[in-house]
Amino acid sequence: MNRIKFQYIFFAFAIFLGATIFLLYHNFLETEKYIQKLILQEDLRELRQTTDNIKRHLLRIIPPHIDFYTYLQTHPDVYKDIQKDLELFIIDKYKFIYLLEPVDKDRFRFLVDTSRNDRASFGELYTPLEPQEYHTLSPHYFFHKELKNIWLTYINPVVEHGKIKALIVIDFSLEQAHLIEKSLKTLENFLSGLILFLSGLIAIMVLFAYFDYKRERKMVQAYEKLEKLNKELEHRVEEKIKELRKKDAIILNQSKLAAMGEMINMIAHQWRQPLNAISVSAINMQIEANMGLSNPQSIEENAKMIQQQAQLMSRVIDDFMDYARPEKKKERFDVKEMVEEVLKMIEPQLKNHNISIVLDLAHDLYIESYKKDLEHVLLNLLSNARDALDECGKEPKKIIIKAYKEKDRIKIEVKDNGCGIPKHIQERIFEPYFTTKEQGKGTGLGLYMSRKIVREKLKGDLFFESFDTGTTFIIEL
Amino acid sequence: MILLFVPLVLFAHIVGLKELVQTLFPLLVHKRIVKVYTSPSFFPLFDDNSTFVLVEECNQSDLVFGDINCSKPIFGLSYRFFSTHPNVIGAFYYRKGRPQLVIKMKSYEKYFGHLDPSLQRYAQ
Repeated sequence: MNRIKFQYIFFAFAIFLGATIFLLYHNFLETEKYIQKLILQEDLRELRQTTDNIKRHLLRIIPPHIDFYTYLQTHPDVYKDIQKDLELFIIDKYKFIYLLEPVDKDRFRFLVDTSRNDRASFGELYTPLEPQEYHTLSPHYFFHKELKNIWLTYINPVVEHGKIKALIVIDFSLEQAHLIEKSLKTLENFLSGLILFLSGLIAIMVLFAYFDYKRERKMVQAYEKLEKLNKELEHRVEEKIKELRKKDAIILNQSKLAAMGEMINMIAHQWRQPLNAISVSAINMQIEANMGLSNPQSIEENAKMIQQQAQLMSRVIDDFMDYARPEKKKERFDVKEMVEEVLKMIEPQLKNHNISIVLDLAHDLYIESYKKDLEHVLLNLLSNARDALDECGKEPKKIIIKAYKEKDRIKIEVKDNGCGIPKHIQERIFEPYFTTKEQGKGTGLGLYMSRKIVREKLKGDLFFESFDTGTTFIIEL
Repeated sequence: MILLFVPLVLFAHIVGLKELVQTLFPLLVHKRIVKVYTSPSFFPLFDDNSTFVLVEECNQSDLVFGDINCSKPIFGLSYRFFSTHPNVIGAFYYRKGRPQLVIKMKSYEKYFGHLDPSLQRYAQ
């Protein structure tokens, strides 16, 4: 919007500049006319003074009531003196200074001629091009249009009793005035050219500004449209996030339920042996009682056995309760111990599936993290390895758990010697609800949740390498 | 440029003069065809065969054109020649940049009698 305002200022400036140039040009033309007029006025003033001086001089020399022609004819010395006197007035500007006497309407005769070249003789008849201009009783001037205005003829008559006795004529050269006029014309042409150039420049600039304004308008409109679209998009993204959060909550819930089911399954495995032992002790007690063989010692032994097994079952419950408890704070723990604790929960089940465990855990591998979450992930990976080995059917079944440090990163590997993950599903195994297990056995949330926990909470990564010889899941922290 | 300019000026001058002599000379001489004697530089003025015949001898001419000394009537080209030579009947020259045509009545009448009324205004 600021740019559009700038363009308005620019337009105003261009108009102001144009008006200034116009006023400047107009003022120049007026000044030019004024100078020309002033020069002419000055020249005419000078001519008037000169011819008046000549007139006074003539009237002083030639007595009144005698015509000039007769007097000069009879007084050749006076004629010569006048000629010499008039010669004194000759300068470059005064091309010809001469005295004429009217003969008739069209013709005059020369009385005195001071011209250096083309000097007329005394009494020589003369027919000017504009004879009517010479019949004047007051000073008069005219331009010679037929001679391209190179002269101005100034006539100052010597009048006596309303009759022209003589005409003092000066052919005044306009060369100097023309030179000034030419210089002014050159200046005017330059100014015209400059104005034309500036006008063109202003026109181009205005045109450019106009197109820029239009482009800017379009851009602003596009920006507004984009902003609207962006807001719509933001709204849609927000809606989508809300939806995803809802979905995540559902997934989390489902994941929890799945984990709970897994836990119950494990507890069931853990409890099977002590329940058997309790059952055996109870059966022993019943048989001994039926057979009358029961004695306090055997009862005590069986009771102790039942008590021990019950305590074992209780510990199992404690262990799982401890595992299931939500964790809010990080803690420093030994990775080896953590792995062993997880194994304590799942090992009986693995043994039940004829799966051997190989441990390759580095000593004193401490980490500060969320232990329960890591246990949860590890337990999930081990469960998956178990199911994969069962599904593959290769014997002997083996899971190798490795924990080590590499370039300041702790890595925990869970490697099985199964058949590997088929290539066409490798890209999808971390997607939610994706499972290859038979219906009712897997939720498809285990790996999805495990990666989410590792990436978002533990700030690490979970990835895998899979070949025909087995799959390795690697937790990198 | 100068070489081009000078002939053009001369030519323009000649064209004006040519018109003048074509109109003026038959009126002065009272003949339809005028025998003219002049210097070679003015020959182009008299190339109209229907009005002029250029003659080689001054004495064979009706009118001499130019400031040439001859016993025949002369039409001069300067005021000095016009005012001094007894055989000059008229002249054409420039004075103060203005063209001047003058006819000397005394000499004219001696050779050709009366002057055409249209030329009276130039008579002296």
